[in-house]
Amino acid sequence: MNSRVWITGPMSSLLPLGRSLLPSVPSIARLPSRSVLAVAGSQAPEFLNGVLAFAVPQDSPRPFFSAILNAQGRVLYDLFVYTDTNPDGRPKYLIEYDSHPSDGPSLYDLLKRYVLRAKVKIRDVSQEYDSWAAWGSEDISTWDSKPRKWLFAPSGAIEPDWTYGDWPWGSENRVIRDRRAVGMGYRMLAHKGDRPSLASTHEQVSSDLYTLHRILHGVPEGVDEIHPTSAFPMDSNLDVMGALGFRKGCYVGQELTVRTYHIGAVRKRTVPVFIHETDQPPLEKSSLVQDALSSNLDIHPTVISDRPKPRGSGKLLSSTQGVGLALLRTDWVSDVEKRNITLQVKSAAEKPWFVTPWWPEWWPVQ
Amino acid sequence: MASRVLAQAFRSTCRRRAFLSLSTRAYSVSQPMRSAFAQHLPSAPTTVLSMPNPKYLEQEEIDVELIPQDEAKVLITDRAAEQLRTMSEREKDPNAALRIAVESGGCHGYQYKMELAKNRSEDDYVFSHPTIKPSNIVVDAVSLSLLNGSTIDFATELIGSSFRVSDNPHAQGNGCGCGVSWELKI
Repeated sequence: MNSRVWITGPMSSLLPLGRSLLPSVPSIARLPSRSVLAVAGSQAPEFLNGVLAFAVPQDSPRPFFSAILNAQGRVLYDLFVYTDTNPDGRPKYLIEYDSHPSDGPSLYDLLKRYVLRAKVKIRDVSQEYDSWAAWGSEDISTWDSKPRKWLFAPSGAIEPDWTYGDWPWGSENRVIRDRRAVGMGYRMLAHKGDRPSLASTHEQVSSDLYTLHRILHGVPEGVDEIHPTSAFPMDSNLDVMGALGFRKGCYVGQELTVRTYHIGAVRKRTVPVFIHETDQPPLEKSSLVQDALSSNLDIHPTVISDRPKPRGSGKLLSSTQGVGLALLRTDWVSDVEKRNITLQVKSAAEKPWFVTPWWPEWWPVQ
Repeated sequence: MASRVLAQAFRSTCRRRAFLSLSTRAYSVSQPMRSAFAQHLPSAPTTVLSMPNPKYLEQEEIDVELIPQDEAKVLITDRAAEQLRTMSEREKDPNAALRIAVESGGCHGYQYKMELAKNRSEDDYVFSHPTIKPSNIVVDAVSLSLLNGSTIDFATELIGSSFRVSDNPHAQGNGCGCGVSWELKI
């Protein structure tokens, strides 16, 4: 029996395993099944500012990452908003999101309902663009380096502090510097059939490897990991990822979001987890479970030490090759570190597997 | 419990005659003031003074289904009509009107924008109280599709007096905390 003493704080002993799972060359992947809407018009920045949770700059179009919430403050979609220019020279926004069938309404219909008399035109251009992600190249360190600055709210909400430096999301058409986490790389839109310019300096890999890269950084994305109409923005790390503007005026879903920020409590977070067979935290790739698991499985705590059984359950949102993203109470993560509880998920074969969460390397620490 | 204590106190302290006279005492009754309860505000369906021009809607590419005159239903309370008439007399302008529009935004998705109408457009409906005139309300065609059936009221509260849009059949739930924004009923 191992008699290791686990230190509280980021579980740095798990990080080498995470790093070993990905090739360390600059990689680029085409992401399937993402949809794109073009939003153009003289009142487009004002329109998006009233509807999205982000403080959309009104002076000139700039790209950013944000989310659209419903009136009850639940997330509908997380979105990348790129800038682009029409052939006639006028600017437009390109909104990229996950359009898999879900509980959420069609984003196109939803935005059309909000246009009313505003001078905004919305078109579905999913057939014209492909979505790509690139990471691992050297030049990323020119703009994406630790340590990052953060603002901590008493409720547990955390937001990035961009007050120094340039616009964090970049300034190029159809390219976004992915600042959702440190080390994510770039996101791009390329015309369908074309390869983006970065493809010449990156090795093309499958989108599953991008999913692994994303999960290892603790970044949830899409309707499978951020469930439309039920996920809370802070539970899905949208505040840490820079999607929410806490100092802007009214937008859809603002009431609950700002109230939670100031006087609520953020008790759950989306964290990366390892899924393994024995109750010892895994140290090598071979300890990880390689079977494919269905999404949205419940995670149950089992008490080791002498304390009352924690109530509720977590959710394993998605997983690939023994690594996954889970929505867990933050006190459970520290309880696992201190070896007070273990977390388990039931597989299809009814055999319980162990789940060990860890805070990503870049996660803000007060 | 309290009444039993009171009754005991009466019996022990008052003499029987005094007790009897209390029960037959005439209490002063004042005429109840005619105050308007929220549910029973005197109001009336407005008359439509003017309709939008369909050709103009087409020309301006305004994408809305035009609500016909017999279906355009906006109610107005008497006190709102009175306020509009007072404003119109003060401005010495019988064409003074309140413009009510629906905009997107606000914490629940839609919000009302109310202002004094500076000019009329060809895509506007113009409503008025049937008897208290002039009390013009101007609503553009797109906004009417989202507030048809509502009641326009003028309420005076501690926070101030303002025109309000209430009982909008297109709005669901309670709306936002400050009453400005509302969600569309699908």
